[in-house]
Amino acid sequence: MKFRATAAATASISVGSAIVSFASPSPSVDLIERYVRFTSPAVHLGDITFDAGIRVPNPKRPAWFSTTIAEIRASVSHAYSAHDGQWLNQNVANAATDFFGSTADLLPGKPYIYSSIDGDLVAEFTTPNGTLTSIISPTFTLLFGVVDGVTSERKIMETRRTREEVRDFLKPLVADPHGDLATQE
Amino acid sequence: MAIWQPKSDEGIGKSENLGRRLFDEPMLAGVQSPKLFGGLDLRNFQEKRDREFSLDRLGRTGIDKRVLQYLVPRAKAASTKFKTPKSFDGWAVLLADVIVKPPVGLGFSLHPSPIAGDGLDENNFHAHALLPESIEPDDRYRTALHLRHLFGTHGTIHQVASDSRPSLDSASPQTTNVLTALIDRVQLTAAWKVVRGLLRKIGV
Repeated sequence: MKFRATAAATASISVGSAIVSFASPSPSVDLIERYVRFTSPAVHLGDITFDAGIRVPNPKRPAWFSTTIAEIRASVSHAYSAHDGQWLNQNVANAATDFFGSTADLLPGKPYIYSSIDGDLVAEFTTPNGTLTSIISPTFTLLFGVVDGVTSERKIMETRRTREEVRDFLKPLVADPHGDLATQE
Repeated sequence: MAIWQPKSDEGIGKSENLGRRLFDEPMLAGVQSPKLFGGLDLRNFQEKRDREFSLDRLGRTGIDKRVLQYLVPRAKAASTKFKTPKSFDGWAVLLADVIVKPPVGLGFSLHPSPIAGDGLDENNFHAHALLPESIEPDDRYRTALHLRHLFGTHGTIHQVASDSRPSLDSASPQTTNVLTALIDRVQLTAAWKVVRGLLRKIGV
């Protein structure tokens, strides 16, 4: 565990690869005092209160993320009625934004995106070991992978598990033996 | 030699070449810099209307040129009947035996289903694979993904030059898709310039 003061009223504490930040809206908060209280073994954690909540920062996002999200947002039609392939409805766009927001750093590069016949978003990826197709709808995400001609699939229903499920599903599709993806441009 | 005339009461032979029509599907309106994609578009393997996955019988043991001469005008005519007309790019071709008994996953029964009609509405070489009954949308996606995988992995692409595009017959499928995407981009840019010019003329 290491502690690092990054601003007058902010400390970042790294535990392994995760970073947890304690941030205060007031610059007058005594950071050192909080640091001592936090690290003192005589103080029970339950006795400590923080001015601000604990937040987990967003994972580092690859360069393609903002472009893809912009393309999705620019494809939303509020007058959307039929699936003509050129437009997305807002619910599909929201689901896709959430999906990429939580998994972009795991994914193998910029996806080729289009609308399915049913109006959901299809994202095609080429991975070091095969291909990945993600179909993102407002109610589920379907992952379909091909490695050496062998297919696998997974349906994700719970959005809170999306990141974990994608990470696990991608393991055989990527070259890194640790299962973590190096994002590509 | 007369053109092969499949008989609907004989069933489909194991060595027949069956083709799934490939149409040029539209890009999302907001995609400005499309990533080039060398694979098959999933939309070409989604069957929207019913459980019958539409196919063309391209030849008894291989692709029959005379059958193609019959089918190409029909496929091109069909491409103009979509709500937004598309271009017909050719077929993804697979042996009947692979569709019925694929090396991986579920197989599909094949049925001749010639279409009666006048002129280009008639198709004596039409057949279909019967898809499993799917209630859930994700089941339909699984079937489309599986079919695309079968055609993409165990089949071939027979390309047909569209009327509005230069022929890419001699290029590999991946190169063709890349070139096609570039041509689309150029056409879109040109179209936008025309629209922008008109808008300026009317003072918008």
